[in-house]
Amino acid sequence: MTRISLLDAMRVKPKDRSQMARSIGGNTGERSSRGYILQDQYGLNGRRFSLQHVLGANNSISLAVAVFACLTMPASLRATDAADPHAPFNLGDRFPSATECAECHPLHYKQWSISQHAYSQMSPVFNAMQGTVGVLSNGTLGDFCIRCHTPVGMNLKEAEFGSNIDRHPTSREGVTCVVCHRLTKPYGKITGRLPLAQGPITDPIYGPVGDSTELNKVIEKRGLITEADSTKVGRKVHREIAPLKFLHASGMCGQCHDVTESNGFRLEEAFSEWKNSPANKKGISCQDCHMGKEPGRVLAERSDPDFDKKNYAYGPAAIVGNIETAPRKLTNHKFVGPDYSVLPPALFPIHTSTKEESQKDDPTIPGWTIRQWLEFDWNAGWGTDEFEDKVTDDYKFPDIWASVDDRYDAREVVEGNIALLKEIEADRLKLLQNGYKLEDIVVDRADDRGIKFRVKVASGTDGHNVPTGFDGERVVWLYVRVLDAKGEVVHVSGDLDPNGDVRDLHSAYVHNREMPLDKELLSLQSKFLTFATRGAEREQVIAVPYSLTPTPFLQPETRSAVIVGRHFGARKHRRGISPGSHRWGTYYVKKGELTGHGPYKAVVQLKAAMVPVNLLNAIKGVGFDYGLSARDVAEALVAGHQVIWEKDVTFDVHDGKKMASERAGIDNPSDAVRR
Amino acid sequence: MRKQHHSKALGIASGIVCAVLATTAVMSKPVLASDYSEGPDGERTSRISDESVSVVDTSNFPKRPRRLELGPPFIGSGPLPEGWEIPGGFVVNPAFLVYGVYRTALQTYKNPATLGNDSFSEWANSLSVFGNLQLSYVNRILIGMQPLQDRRGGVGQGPPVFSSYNFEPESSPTGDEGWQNEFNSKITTLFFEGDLGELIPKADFNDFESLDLGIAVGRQPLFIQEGLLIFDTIDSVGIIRNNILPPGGSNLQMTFLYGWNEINRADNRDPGNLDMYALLLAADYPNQTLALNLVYVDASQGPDIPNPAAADDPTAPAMTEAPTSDGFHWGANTTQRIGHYNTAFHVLGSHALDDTPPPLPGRPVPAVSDGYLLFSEISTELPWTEDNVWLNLYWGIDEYSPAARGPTVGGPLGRAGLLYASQGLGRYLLALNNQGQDVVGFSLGYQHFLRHSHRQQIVYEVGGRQSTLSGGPAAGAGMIRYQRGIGQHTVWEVSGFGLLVDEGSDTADARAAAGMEALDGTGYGARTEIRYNF
Repeated sequence: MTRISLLDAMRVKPKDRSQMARSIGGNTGERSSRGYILQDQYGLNGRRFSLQHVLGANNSISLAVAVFACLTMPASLRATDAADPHAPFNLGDRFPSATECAECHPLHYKQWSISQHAYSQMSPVFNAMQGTVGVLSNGTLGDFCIRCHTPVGMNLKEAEFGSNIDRHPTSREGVTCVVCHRLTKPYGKITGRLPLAQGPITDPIYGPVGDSTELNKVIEKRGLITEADSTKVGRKVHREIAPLKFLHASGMCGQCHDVTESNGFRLEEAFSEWKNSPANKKGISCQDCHMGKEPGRVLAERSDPDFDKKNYAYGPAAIVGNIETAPRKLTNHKFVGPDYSVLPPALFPIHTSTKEESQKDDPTIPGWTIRQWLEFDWNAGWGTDEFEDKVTDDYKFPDIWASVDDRYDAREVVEGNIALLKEIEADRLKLLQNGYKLEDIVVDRADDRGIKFRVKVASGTDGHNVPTGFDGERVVWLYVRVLDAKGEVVHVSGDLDPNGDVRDLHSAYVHNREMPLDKELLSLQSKFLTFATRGAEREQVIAVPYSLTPTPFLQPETRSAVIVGRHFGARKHRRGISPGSHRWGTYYVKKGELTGHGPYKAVVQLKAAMVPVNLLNAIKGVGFDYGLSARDVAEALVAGHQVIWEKDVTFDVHDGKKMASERAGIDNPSDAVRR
Repeated sequence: MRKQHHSKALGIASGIVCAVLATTAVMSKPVLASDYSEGPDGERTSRISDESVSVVDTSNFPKRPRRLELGPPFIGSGPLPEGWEIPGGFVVNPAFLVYGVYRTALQTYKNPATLGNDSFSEWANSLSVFGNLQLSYVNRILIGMQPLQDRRGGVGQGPPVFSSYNFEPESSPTGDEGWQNEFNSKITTLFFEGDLGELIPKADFNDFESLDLGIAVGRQPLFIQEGLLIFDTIDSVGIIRNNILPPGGSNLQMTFLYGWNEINRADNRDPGNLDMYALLLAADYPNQTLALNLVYVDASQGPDIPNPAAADDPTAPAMTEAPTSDGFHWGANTTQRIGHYNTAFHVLGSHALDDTPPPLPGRPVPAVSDGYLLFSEISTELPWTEDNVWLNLYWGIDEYSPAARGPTVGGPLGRAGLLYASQGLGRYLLALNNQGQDVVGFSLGYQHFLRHSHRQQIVYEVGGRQSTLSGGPAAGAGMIRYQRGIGQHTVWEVSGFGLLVDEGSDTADARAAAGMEALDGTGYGARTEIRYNF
């Protein structure tokens, strides 16, 4: 029986890498030998088509077009094609996998593996959304959305929609190491259209300092290999750390976290909000809050000369064998945010015990394919003593999981992943607690005519609105229950419908008039509005204005969208709380709802969800990846709801006078940790 | 006589087609909305589905359309070029895309309110072609042409004429018979838009300065307050500050706009020598979006018009300057959802800062006048569907005039209903007058999405308007429109309307006094159109 620990699982053996490289090879421009969904490896088909249509017989135009095409062709392609247009182009050598980086940067890898960056492409919710908008826009969505979610996949010219199981493993890594560390210059607000430098792990890597001193030391001491085509056996490393100071600037994040569609629709504006925020005026960058020790908060004033030491961890950037490089400022690569995984823990966080479909019958390669992992019933307890000691002989296991040793091995991977998920869940709660404050509960009336009270929710950050980013689908809301003396709920707002949605206009039950609209609901979710053929703008879960035309066709706006700050077919009604601001929720328990003199208690929870269930309803038509049903995903989604803060207040209406006492906020709500 | 029959036959045929389609739509089930699932027994349920749907077969997934382009593909996959950095740090990453829309329509039209007792039938065409030169993701230059339509008599001098074939009458208003070729290569749109901070990034490497300004300059179409205030293509420059974070709100955007040329006033005519200054504010608050727009139009001199005195006095100049006035125009609106209803309420005003000039010859309204417009939009979605039902109401108090209206867009009430909207193609105009002077009116409509797709939809609408002046005109109309998507690029549309008009005693008396025949009390329109996006 072979058992591997989680740490072992995260380390990639050289043998695995070479195996991976062999199986990745091929440059047919169609399906590779492994069946990845490549369209055109060199990305030239579209350009050839364009040239044929434009050139015609006019030589001067031809020359101009040719010059233009040359100037706009990726530099790496120009060089490669000029040297040998038929040269094999190993995909692994173009975009090194995070698993290669993990060898020398285990801490960074571990942090990244549980991050939203690692989850970005793995997410079945994102995948279905990409597919749905692609269908609704008649294919004109192109690689918008997914260009950010898997920059490597799009550089490889993979299909814009399909199962992740069939993607290249580095493509599945989403925002992987090379996405930031293989940029050569600052590009500004480009909505994730990142021109990545291509090359093997031995090519220069880009860092904020660009000092190769420590690297050179370990190269000398360990005899590391810095040539891509070396026949030497040993560990390959980058031969140089090139400077990209921009990595420390907020604009680095703004390259993806300010999302504008080509037609002018402003989908996400986190970076723009920050540019106009008090934090900006104080000189605090995105990285200071989101890559420091504490998620969502700086631990010192920016003017403090020891700011870096107080705000950031320190340690070796790399560990090569048993050699650690000199301690330096370490940025946190968890990039903690409000998203969470809805996948089985066998699939995420990313780990190295997953092999590719083409390797499934090769016993020399450890691990299991995604499809095999999906058959592993971790919920039933497979691989635990509790289960295995009691399991009967007639229990039917899939063939791949027939071996008890394999089940124990797999269980170890799953348990390691569950531990990591708990870790990131606690970080996420901290982030949310730093972003939102549940403040005063003000009682306006508490007598035999009813109870009126207000609840104040304030922004906890001065860096941007809360929620920010994909705020059109971020649900942060107040769940308020008023209980009578017997503990019975007499009044409620912020409760969920049977699907798990708050009762707003997007709830299917409310839309279909099966449940009443929650008129007191305080939700900070922004809403997508689309122009309708006539009538007022209407809320839509997916902001494709199909009321205006039966064939929405995404193309550059023919008017200036800059002038009005919006697209003409759709926009976002932003409802987040701006820095330093607050919002009041108002609640009224009517006389008829009172059951006696009380006392009554209002329990107030500020809660957060990654996305609403109604989004799943809107995108379910194309199916969810990994064979999940909409309800599977919905249940995982609702299970991930977190209580950010909780307070309660007691009302006594005995003598008809207003009386109330407020209890302090509970810092560690009971249901904050779900697993 | 034969021509009259021809026109009527076309109208009747289209009407029949519409009726058949309408019946089909009524009998069909609604679209499988995102708001419900189907249970095991096939019954609809609000409960989210337990069914595991396989990911759509990628071979059937719509592909990115082929486009005429140079440089990296427009939102297409593949490696991206590094671009070249110019002094100031701006990385130029050029890509050029040609796109647009071709429209062709067969249509017949009779409306006493716009054509008197005349009618026509035609085959009309338009082509809008744009070249988009993307310098970086947020900086671009757009150039546009409309090579199948032109404006007779020079820029600003008349309504556009389209490349068309006139079936009836044989002579068009421009004097051309049969086929009219309006091919031209005039540039109708040319502007740059971008982000100042992105153009000179080295001036603010760490983004700690206040260079986050949007800018747009050139000949650009403007559509302000749903077109109620400005709907025109104007030579202008706009500077916008977005993401101003107001206390209690989520976003405030502020735009300053200056226009210096191609400004068509409320009578759809550009008199020349106009300057426009505008301040546009829009803010998102928790329960609504608020907007306030202020526009000042500086008219240094009026347009040249034929001199009436020249008829009696041969020594008088043939042309004279028409009276004009500066104008101050403003609009405010609030957009929100109230319960299950989507609502928007607009109030707009216009003020001629000098004496209100009379309408120019051939124009129904003056270039600027005093008045107010109250305009409301209310709509809702029906349960279990995404079908849209709306009721739009308006009240024009005195003579409201928008700040700028392009030559093809008529009056400001196009958003009131499909019956009020100009088609923007050929001579087929609107069913109900869309000017907003001394009038109240409404539209009540229903948009129905046919089963399983948003790619088929049908709209039913009725509307009416009544002058608030005694002896003024009134009209009522109903229409049906069917649209369906065909393939990736094409929309096919069939529509028709019927109209009842009471020209009002004032107009009737005036026509009688002038020896003109009384207007017919009915009108109709029928058309079928194909739109091809490329």
